[in-house]
Amino acid sequence: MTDRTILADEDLIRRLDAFERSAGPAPGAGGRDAASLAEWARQDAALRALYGPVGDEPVPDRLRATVGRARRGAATGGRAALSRGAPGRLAAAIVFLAAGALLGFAAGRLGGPTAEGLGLAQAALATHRTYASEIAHPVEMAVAGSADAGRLAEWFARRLGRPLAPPDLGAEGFRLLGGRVLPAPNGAAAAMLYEDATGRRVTVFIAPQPGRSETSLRLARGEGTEGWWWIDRGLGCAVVGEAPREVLKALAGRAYEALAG
Amino acid sequence: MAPLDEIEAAIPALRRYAVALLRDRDAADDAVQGCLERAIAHRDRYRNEGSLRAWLFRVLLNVVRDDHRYARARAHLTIVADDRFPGPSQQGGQEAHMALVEVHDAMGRLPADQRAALVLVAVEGMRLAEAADALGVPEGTLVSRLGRARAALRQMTHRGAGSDLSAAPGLRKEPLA
Repeated sequence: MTDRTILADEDLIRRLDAFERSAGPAPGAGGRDAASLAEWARQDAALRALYGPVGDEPVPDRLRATVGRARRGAATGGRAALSRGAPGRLAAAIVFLAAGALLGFAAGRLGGPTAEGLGLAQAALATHRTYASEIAHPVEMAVAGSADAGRLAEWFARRLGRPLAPPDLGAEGFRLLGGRVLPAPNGAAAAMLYEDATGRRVTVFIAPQPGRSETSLRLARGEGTEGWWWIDRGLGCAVVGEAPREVLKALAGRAYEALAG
Repeated sequence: MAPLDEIEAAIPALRRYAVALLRDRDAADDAVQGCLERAIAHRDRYRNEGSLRAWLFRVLLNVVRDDHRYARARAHLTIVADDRFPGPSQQGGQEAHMALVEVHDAMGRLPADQRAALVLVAVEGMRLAEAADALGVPEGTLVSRLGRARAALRQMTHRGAGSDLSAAPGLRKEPLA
């Protein structure tokens, strides 16, 4: 392929585009242009046959639900939802509030985890999905050093009404980026975001669960994210994120020790 | 502020693009999910400059580039053989089926930036200006990628003058990044 051929092709691409937006004459009345256009039309037809049908399939529920959550969040929050971060926060809160009602029935029938526990796990997963992918504002209060970690702990203690220090997950290679306070059925929940050297992010989610019985460590999964949750001494905790299940389990163990200690 | 209705209406096109980019149905839907979450969280940043569709496609491409979870799918981009492709073979016979398999394989061997450019124009029917916007590159860069993609595809599907695959321009195996 010569430079001249490449330039001719690029020129033809521009002329075809101009024609299709009614800004130029029809290209390729004959010769080389016509052959190229016929070949490109065959390519386009093949590509549309390959990838077009995906667009005709029903949209998976989980994708529709993502927009649905935002729509309900915007409707419930009114103008307040327009402020920065509020749509995600509302969405997480609504998931938290609705999950118990929606999933409690199934959980009861299965004799499995409590509805409260499922609500906790769902809220943790939703929180992680909403914020961990954020580039600009993954956390509400960022932590750059130990003094910041202390301020975050004070903020959490004030809002959750009990001492709460972010667990140190440094031994597993995860550094605390910061945290945020979220609405929850029992007042407020705390979310802490950690990151390792490779950019993997993990959320530690803590919400008071007054009067709830203790549970063992349980697996939570949803929409491509998974993690572990438990309830201990009235405090629900979940560790979810983008690491392999065993790594998340080790992190959960570390967090459990830190919170119990 | 991007309206939620229009974001929702774009989901089928986003899935089409993600499947063409990632060549893995599950990874594609994960990427679309990530795109929707990011687009919804940042929809106040969409300011009616260019089309909403181009903005959403740009968000999707960034999600695919940013997220290490797609590294596996990206690493296998050049060798993956997904038996769910090609989908529609009912209107053609065995010959047409083979031609689609050939095109699908050829797409897998294109550099990711050329593949992304070609899909926007050939499948989504975008004009050059909109496709350049969706890719976040100048129009000249897009035209150059399109030219190379079309020439490589022609040679790989044995329609061109030469069928020597190694001679196809831009035929490096590289990840989508």
